[in-house]
Amino acid sequence: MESRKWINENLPKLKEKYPNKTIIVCDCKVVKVFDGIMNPIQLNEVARQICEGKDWSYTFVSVEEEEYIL
Amino acid sequence: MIVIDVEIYNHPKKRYELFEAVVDTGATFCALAKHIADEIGLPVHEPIHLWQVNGPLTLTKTTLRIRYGKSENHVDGVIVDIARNYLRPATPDEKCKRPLTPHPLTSRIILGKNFLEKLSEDDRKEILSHLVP
Repeated sequence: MESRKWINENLPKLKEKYPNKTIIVCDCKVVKVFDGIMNPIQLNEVARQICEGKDWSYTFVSVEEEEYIL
Repeated sequence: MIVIDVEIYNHPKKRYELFEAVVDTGATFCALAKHIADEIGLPVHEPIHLWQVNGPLTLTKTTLRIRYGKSENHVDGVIVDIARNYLRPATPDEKCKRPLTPHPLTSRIILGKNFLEKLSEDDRKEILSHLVP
C-alpha cells in the first residue's frame, strides 16, 4: 500500500527518470527497472525474489498513456 | 485516474498475485486481458454483451477472487481478448492508426463498480478519496 502511494505521488518525477519503463518499487524505492511493458505475473515472480516480505508495487511508467484513454 | 493495488488468486499456482488496477466507476464489471486470465486459470463462464463507445462488445464472463486490504471477495469480471499487436508500442507504420502506447490492460486490470460495491464503506470512501486532491 505504501509503495503504491509513493508511486502515485511521485509519478511526474518517475516519468522523467524512467520513461516508458516498468519499475518495481519496494519500501518506497525503485529496486528494478525493465524496458517497456511487462507481464504482471512475471513481475510478481521477480518481486517475490527481491522484495520478499516487504511492501512492494509496480507500474509501467507510460509517458503518453493518459492522453489516449477515452 | 485512480490506480490502486489488489491481489488476485492464481488458481494453478494456488497463490495471490499483485496487480496494478485502474478503478473505473463507469465500468459495470471488472475486466482483464485474456493472456492474464489464461495464466491465472480463471474460470470461463457464458458470453456477455456490453455497450462500448460505438457499438456492442461481446466478452466472456468470469469470477475473480480479489483481495484488497483485509477483505477478500468473489467478483464478476469480463475477459477481453486483446490482439497481440496491441500489447506492444506502435511501430512507425502504425502511427495514426492506433495509440502509441501498449494497451492499458497489458499489465493492469480494471476494477468496476461491482468491485467497489463489495467493499466496506470505509474502504470505498478511501479509494474514491483519491479523486479529491
